[in-house]
Amino acid sequence: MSKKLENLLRHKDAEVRRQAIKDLCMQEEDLSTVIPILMKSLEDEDWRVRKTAIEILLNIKGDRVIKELINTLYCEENANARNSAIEILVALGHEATDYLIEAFKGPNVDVKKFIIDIIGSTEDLKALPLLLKALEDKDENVRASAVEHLGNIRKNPSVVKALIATLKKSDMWVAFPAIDALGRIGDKKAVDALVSVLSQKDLKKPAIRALGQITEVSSLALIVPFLKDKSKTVREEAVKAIKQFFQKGMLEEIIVERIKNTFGNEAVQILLPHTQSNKKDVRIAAILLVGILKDKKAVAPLLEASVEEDVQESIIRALVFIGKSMPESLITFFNASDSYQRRVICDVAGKIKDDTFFRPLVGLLKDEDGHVRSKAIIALSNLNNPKAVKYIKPLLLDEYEDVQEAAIRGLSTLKNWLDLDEIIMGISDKNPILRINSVILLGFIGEQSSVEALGVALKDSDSRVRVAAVDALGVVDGPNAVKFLLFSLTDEFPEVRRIAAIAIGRIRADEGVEPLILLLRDSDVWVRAGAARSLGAIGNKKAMKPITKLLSDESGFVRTTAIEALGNFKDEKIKNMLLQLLNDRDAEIRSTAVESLASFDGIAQDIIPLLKDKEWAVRKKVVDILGGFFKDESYAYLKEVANMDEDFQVREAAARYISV
Amino acid sequence: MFEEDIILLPTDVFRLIRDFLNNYCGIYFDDRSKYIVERRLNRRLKIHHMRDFREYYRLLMYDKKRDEELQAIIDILTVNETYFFREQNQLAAFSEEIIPELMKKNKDKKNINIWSAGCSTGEEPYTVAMLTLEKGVQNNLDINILGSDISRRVLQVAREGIYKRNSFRAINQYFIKNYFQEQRNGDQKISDRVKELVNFNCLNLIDPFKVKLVGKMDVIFCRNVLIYFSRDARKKVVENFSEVLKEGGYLLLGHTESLINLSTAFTLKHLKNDMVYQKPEKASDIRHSTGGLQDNAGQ
Repeated sequence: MSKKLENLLRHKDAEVRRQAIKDLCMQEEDLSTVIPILMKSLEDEDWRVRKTAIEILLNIKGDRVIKELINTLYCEENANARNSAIEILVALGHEATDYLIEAFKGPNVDVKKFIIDIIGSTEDLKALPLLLKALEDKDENVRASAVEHLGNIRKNPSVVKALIATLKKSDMWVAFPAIDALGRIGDKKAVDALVSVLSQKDLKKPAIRALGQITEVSSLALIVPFLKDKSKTVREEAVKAIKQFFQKGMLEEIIVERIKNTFGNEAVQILLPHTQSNKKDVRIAAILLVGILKDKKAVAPLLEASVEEDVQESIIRALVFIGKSMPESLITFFNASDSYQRRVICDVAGKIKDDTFFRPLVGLLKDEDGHVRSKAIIALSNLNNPKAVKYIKPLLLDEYEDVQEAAIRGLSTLKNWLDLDEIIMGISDKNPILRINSVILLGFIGEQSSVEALGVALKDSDSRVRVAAVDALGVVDGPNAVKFLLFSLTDEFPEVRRIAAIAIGRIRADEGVEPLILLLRDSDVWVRAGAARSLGAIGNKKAMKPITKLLSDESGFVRTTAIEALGNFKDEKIKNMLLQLLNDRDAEIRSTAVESLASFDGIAQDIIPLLKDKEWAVRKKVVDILGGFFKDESYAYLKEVANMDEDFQVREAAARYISV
Repeated sequence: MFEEDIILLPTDVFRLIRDFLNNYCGIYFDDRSKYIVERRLNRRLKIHHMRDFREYYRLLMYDKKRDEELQAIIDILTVNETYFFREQNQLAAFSEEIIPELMKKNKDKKNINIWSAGCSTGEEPYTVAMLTLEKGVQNNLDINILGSDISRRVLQVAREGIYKRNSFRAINQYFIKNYFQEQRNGDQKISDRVKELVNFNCLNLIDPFKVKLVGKMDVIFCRNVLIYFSRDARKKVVENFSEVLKEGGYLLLGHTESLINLSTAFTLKHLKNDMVYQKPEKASDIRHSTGGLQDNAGQ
């Protein structure tokens, strides 16, 4: 090894040291020189240097490396080296198993534990006898580690048997991991052993959890009484475990029967306090159980708890359980003083779809709270009752847009009972709000017969009506729709031009190409971007050159849209232009260029350098494109990113691609 | 928004938008907030006829009117829950210990300046105003109370000064009787004599130039605001407070908030009713970092 290289390996800059060990492996073929240096690098303080050494050692493999690595396990003074050795031995998998089994015979208990951890992580069945033997080890950490890893070996009767035997030995040190392992394995043979420890104060909580994971029917009745345990954490564990039975498909009737057999009418009162728990998983489990008990006493407390957004869906689900069997139990709550509760009750009614709710929902259409009115409209339309139309229609003119929007949505759900001519007449109403909403409603209904009426709406004096009309025409389609949309490209109001341009792209109307090209020079940024987006969607090559001019547009918004649009044209010139943008100063431009290049062949090598981009978002985009389209040729790079990138999200994405 | 119309927010773009907002105003949304951000911003996408969040992110990055959009986002995303007389012990410390001290200290300067930073819909500055009136501060000094928030929507409510039942969960009936007028619909309107003590301003707390414009303060209330900020942004905000707070001035944070690992520019002072942060009279008085529980009560 040259003096220079030696210095580099000791350089204060980690990147220099990292590069030095890479260079060493390129230049030096003698493993007796290389391996000791790499082993030394496993002690390096910088994780990147260690990672590089790990990568190289993994490539070298072989007896010598494995023996050195096992020796490193004894290296107490440097945790970095030890951890790196463990990482490599885990990655080597069964190649190292025989050596590890041999090394287990040694007396060092720390090393023995590491060996169990390594062998356990590789899940090599050859090591199963060793893991089972380790259950008898004198050292409790070795035993506990063996138990823990046995839990990863599924569907092996000898493992379950051994773990049950371990549990029966009353060895508290391994009892916890044994219970946990049996729960993870999920074998019903373990139920009796787990039930037998339910009486032990310290073990009941993990045992309940494990029984919840196994979900054997007979054990449910044994878990239920713990809902009244003295310990709060045990009660909470029982709530979560019982929920598991429901989640794994046990009929709600059976669960309810078991709970009611134990607690009778008191059941709801026992569960309700958990719906207020500060542990979200407990809260959600309790809410579900309270729901399936179908007890009307639970409605009020559940509604009170519904103000928290993150449990609202669970509460609605629980109330649906109750309301489906007893719709009348919800009726009084349509008049709840808290508007939040009235909103929730509307959601529930809309899901139950029972006609009992028709009148109360009609009543809420006049609620003082706009959110309640919106939700009442949607719930009412879900009842699919034709009588609802006359009550909902006036809300097209509600003071709040949200409510108007709900009315449009609700009426479109009831479209079979709508008089289309009446809606079309709304387009000529003197109230612009009704004109706008009639147009939007026609778009939702999507009848081609309304195209002409929408064409008339394009001549409306109010630009909002025209915007709504072009948007609707993009959905309704039909031969005349394009004609009208083209006409709107010259509207004096930019938003109309933009939405018309987007609508033409949505229906991929080729006759729109020429006018859209003209629109690329519009004075409004959003219109130019809209035109570029649609031209990209249509994909007519005539548009290619005009779009490229937007690459030097003053607006980043237009530039990024143009880059995206160009990605639709498989043309060598375009490819070269996009490649140049990989050096742009703006990270969003680089990112978008990488994405647009995805559709071109042979660009992997061009974008690989951007795996070193300073912005995580660019690197992540490159990982996504390489992983999604060019995985084979970029595998080694993705692997490096998975190990080395400083950003967790980028590393995680790369790791995901290489593991598939 | 209707479930079927919801545009999903990809994790990458959530992070881009989150970081953008954090840089702009310091407010930080952790990963658990993604669902709520996604749901609440969907309407903005719809208003702009946008197909996805990436396009929306570009609007924030490039559009000339992005400040308007950011304002709209802040209005949608920030939690503005507050009420009159929140955190009674601290208010007792303010009213019974800090105000009398300031009345003595500011006798010659003839005024007292108090800032409620992140005042939301105004309950806090109005509470402060009522307490100063109760103490008769107005008889000797000019009272200047500033309420600031980054959301214009909440400031609009604050300026109107009309409140619903929820805002009165911790108030004594005496104050309702003396400082509010009941409206026909049962709402309560703050009285003019309270209102005239308070001015409202839209302010980004991490912007040092804007913060300096508020002038020198005797007391800053910033309660339950820093919890929404990232660590870096908290540091900036506290630095800004330190700049505008007079020597010996007080900083009152929420009960769950502290300056540990954020700033060493304040000392923690144990008052009879509560603990508060104080800017030392002279820089040399800083003997402990704010993390330490230094008791200055006897000084």
